[in-house]
Amino acid sequence: MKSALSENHRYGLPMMVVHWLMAVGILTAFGVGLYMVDIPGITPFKLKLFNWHKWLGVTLFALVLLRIVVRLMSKTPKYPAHWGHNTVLFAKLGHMALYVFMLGVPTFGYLYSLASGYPVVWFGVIELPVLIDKDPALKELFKTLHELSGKGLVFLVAGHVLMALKHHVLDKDGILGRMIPGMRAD
Amino acid sequence: MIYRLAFTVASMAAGLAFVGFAVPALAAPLDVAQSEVTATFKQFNVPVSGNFRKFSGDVQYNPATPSDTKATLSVETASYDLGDPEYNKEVAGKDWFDSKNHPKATFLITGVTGAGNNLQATGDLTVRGIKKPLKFPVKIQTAGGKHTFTGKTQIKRLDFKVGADGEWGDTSLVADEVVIDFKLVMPAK
Repeated sequence: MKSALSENHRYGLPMMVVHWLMAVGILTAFGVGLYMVDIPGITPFKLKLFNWHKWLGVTLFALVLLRIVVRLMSKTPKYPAHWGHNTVLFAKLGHMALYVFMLGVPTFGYLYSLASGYPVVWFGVIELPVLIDKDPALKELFKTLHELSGKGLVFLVAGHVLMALKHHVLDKDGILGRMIPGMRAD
Repeated sequence: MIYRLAFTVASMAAGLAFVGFAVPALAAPLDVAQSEVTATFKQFNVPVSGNFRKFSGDVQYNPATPSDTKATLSVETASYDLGDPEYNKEVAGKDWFDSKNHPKATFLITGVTGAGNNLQATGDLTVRGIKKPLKFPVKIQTAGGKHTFTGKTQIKRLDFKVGADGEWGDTSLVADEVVIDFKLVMPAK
C-alpha cells in the first residue's frame, strides 16, 4: 500500500533517465559553448568543439521532443498536497519555461548555424534540413537569440536546482526522490 | 602630297581590315560584376562555400571557333569570403592560401574540345605557386548581349599544399576535395 502510494509520487524511470541525460547534456553544451567562442582565431580544436556542440544541441533537441512525448503518455506525479496555490503555479510556470527554453535554445542555435552558411551534419553523418539560406542579418539575430536564451536556460536550471533543494532541505518535502532513481519519495 | 594621302588612306584601310579580321579573336575583359568564382569544401562533412570577392581576367572566344577559346582568371586569394572575418583571416593565413607570399591564384583555360552541349575545357590552376593541369566540362551560353561560361571542377587542396601542414592536413577535419564553381561573363559584341 505504502509503496504503491509512493510510486504515484514519483516520475517513471523513462522520465528520470531523460531528465538526467538532459541535465548533463545541457550543462556540457553550455560549458563547451562558453569555452569554444573564446578560443582565438580558427583552430582544428575549435572546429571540433563547434561541431560537437552542434551535435549535442541537436541530440538535446531530439531528447526534449522525446521527453514531451513520454511526459504526455505517462502520469506526472501530483504536487505535494500541502503546497499552496501560488507554489504550485510558480512550479508549473518554472517547468513550462524550462521546456520552452529547452526547445528554443537548440532551435536558435540551429538557425544561427544555417544563417552563417553552415548546414548541420549530425555526428558528421546525417545531413539535417537547410531551412534558411546564408544571411548575415539573420546570423546576427539568431546569434544573439541563441546566446541570450542559452544563458536564460542555465539561469532557469539554477533556479530549478535551488527550488528543489529548498523544498527538500528546508521544507523537508522529500521532493528529490521523485526524480532520483532509488531515492525514497514521500 | 598625293602620295602621302594615298599612303595614309591605304594604311588606314589596312588597319581597319586588320582590326575587322582580328576582333573576334581578341580577348575581352570579364564583366567582373556579373562573374562569380566559388570554392566549396567540407569540414566534418559539412559543405561550406565561399566566394572570391576580387578577381580579374579576360576571355578570348569566337562562337565560330570555340576550340580557340582561352581564358585567364587571376584571383586574389585574400578575398576568399566565408562570411566571417575570423575564418577569412585564417584562410588567407600562411597555413592555407598564404596570401602574403602568394597573393594571386591563376586559373587558365587553354582550349576547349567537343561541340554543342558537350564541351570539355583544358587548362591549369596555380595556387601557392603550384601549377596543376585541369580538365572539366564547360557550358557556353550567349544571350542578352553576353557570353557566359559556366563550369565546375574538383581539385585536391593538398595537391597545392593548402592547409597541408600539421593538424589541418587531417582530411577528416577538412576534406581534401574542393569544388570550384565559376561563372565568367563577357560582353558579346
